[in-house]
Amino acid sequence: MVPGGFSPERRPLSRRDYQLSENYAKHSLSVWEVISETDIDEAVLAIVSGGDHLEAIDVVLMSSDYLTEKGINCVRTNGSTPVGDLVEKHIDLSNLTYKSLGIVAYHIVDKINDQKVKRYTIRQLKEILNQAISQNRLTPDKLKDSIREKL
Amino acid sequence: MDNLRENTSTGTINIGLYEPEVFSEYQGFSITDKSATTEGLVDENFVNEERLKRLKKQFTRELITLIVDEDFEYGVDTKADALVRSQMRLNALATKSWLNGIFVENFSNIPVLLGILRVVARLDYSELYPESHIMAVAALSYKNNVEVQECGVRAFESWGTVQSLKILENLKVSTQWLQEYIDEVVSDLRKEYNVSTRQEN
Repeated sequence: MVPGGFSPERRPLSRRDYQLSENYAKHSLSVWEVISETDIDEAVLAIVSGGDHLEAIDVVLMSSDYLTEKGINCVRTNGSTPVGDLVEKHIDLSNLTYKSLGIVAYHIVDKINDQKVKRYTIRQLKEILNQAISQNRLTPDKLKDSIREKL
Repeated sequence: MDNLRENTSTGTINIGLYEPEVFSEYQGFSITDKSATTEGLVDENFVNEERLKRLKKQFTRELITLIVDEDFEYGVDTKADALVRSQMRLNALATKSWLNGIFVENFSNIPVLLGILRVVARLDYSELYPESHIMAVAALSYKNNVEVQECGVRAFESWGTVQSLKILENLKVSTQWLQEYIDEVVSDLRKEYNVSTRQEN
């Protein structure tokens, strides 16, 4: 096991913008944990359901093994998402310094070069949200108006 | 009167001439000699021009500063969005003209251009048409910066109209990932509007 509770096959998922504004003060980057590559939609659901606007996003699959090996502090925190069963899937890459942020940045570039990046279009995001609603994992009134109006 | 009520509820003042006392009641404007026609009605051109002048003088610098200084993240609202929304509620016609002016005047300023496109893409298509359309088309033709082109595609994807489909399906770019994104959006919009590929070909 590695800090943050990932099993070796588990990988955290991050979006390209890393919620820098939200986490700037605490020097951390926000990522969501997924069990495997086929599980990415779960992290996308967590991210999009908590947003203000429905817009295409890019997600990068990062390796928790690599990050912990390089000394990145992975701290499990409650995520800001209205999907209850995903709240605990959130992880902060915390206490980042100029040096450790560089490690994360280069890792992201490597993953993009390895094609471990996927763009979700608005239609795909709608399908993910609608599926969660039909499964009673998400209620529409928890979504921002601008998102709900597009579903 | 009904027209006025309907119009002011969305912040626009672009239909008809209104009696000064009614107009001032709804808009909070003081009616002066300059804004009244010889028939004693409010001159809409004057009102819109005054609003545009005010936007340029009081809010252009603020909007550009917000765009440049704020961290931007797709999916997350910004102060620039809030500023433009509030001005759209007050006077959509003047605000559209104002945004268009900033876009044109900053056509070589990439950060500002991107910021305007991102704000515009988040507004309802019908609110900002046709200025929004023209800005996004201009962005698509921006050969020197792929991010500007992407913002144009994103805007059309966000509006998701038949016009979006018509413009994007004929668009070819040299950057592979952007072309893949365009193709994906075109495919999405074809599904949305039940347009078959065969029919389009």
